[in-house]
Amino acid sequence: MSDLRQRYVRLLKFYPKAYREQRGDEILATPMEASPSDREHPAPSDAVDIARHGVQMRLGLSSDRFAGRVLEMVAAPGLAVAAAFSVFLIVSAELFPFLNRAYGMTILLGPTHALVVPRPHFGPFATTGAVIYVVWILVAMAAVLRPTHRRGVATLGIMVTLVAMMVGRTYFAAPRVSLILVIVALALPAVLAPTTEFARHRMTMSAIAFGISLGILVWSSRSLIAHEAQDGSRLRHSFGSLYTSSIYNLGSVLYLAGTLAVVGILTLIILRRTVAAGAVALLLAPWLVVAYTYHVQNGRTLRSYALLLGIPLLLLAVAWIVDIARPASRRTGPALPTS
Amino acid sequence: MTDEIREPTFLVLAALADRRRHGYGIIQEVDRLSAGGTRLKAGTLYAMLDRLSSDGLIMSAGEEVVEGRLRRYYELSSEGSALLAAESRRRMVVSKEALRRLRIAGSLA
Repeated sequence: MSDLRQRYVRLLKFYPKAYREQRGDEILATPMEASPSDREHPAPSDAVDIARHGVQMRLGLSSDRFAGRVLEMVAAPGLAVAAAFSVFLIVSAELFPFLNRAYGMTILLGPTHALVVPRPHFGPFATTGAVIYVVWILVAMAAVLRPTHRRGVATLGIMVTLVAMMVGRTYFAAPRVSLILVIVALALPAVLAPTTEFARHRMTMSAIAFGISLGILVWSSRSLIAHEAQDGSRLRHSFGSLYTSSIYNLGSVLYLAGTLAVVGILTLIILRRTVAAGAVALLLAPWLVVAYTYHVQNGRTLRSYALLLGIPLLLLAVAWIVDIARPASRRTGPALPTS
Repeated sequence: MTDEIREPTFLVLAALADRRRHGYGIIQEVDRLSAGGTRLKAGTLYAMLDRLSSDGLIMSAGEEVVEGRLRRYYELSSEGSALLAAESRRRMVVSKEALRRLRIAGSLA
């Protein structure tokens, strides 16, 4: 056996055994046929591609499986919601203190309000979060304009986020990790989804998801300006940063948003639209972090929120586990119809 | 398959339009049809073939061993042919209209 063949055989071990036994020889033959005779190592891009699809197959993330279809459905709307959250945060948390007169005064007055306004600022922004939010808005736009590059730009977004967080923590002020985790979690399906192909109707879904998310976020902060202008002291006790005000009211509407989402998910399940139900549950998942932060910081019990938002996630997890735990004989990929 | 047909899927279906092909044959044909714009890797190709099989758009059309390597061939099912024809017509109508408008606007050389 040649070195190249041996290396490809090793790469095939990323696939489940049952699938490998059915399709392994065929998959192996394809890159072997495409490779020049003097090549000894698989091309790195080939190796990554085979490894990625093998892992996806093991995790049930292929296009013909439940989790894969859920991820495909969520990928574009997830980025849209991440962009909406970024727009909200950059305006309300990064820019707002500098646009608002009351906060402007606290910045000028300095030390007594050090808890409210983190220092040092990142240029004209409060934290390096501004960079992260702009990047995710750009990633969402790039994914719309170049859908086939969606996985790459989302991965780039995650890397820039990590760097901006490290730079913020070391040299400036960094945004709250919990909020950044929400954005990254919303973007992950764009990286993990089995395909990056263009889907027209998902563009509409993404636009709707963007609008609804931004609407809920803006609605949640409807009384923000009044709070800030009247008394900044209210904002200090919970999160201890200027992000408090942005998230404080968001937490307070999660009940309603969560209830609506749970009703929607149950309706979809009844209508046998299980993939759509899973997609809604997955879009909902990251907000558990916000709910958790809100409740912990306000000294309230998490139980009710966890129940409300956790049930759909539990259903999703059970559906996924049942799907990947199917007997090996049924996990060899789709049966190939013959002519 | 839903109401969508996406570019790489369209290319794979188009590659199988005239005759059966095996994995590497499909990769070559997609490369040619897209003028080098879409270069499928093996992992991506087989994930796509799995999906198209499960959607009933393609089917296995025999296999043979050439130089010690297994070649499994694929061909369009009747559903796949119908979908490809419908999508091709749709794209042709849009393209013709786009060219007509460009001519009217004087933007077409």
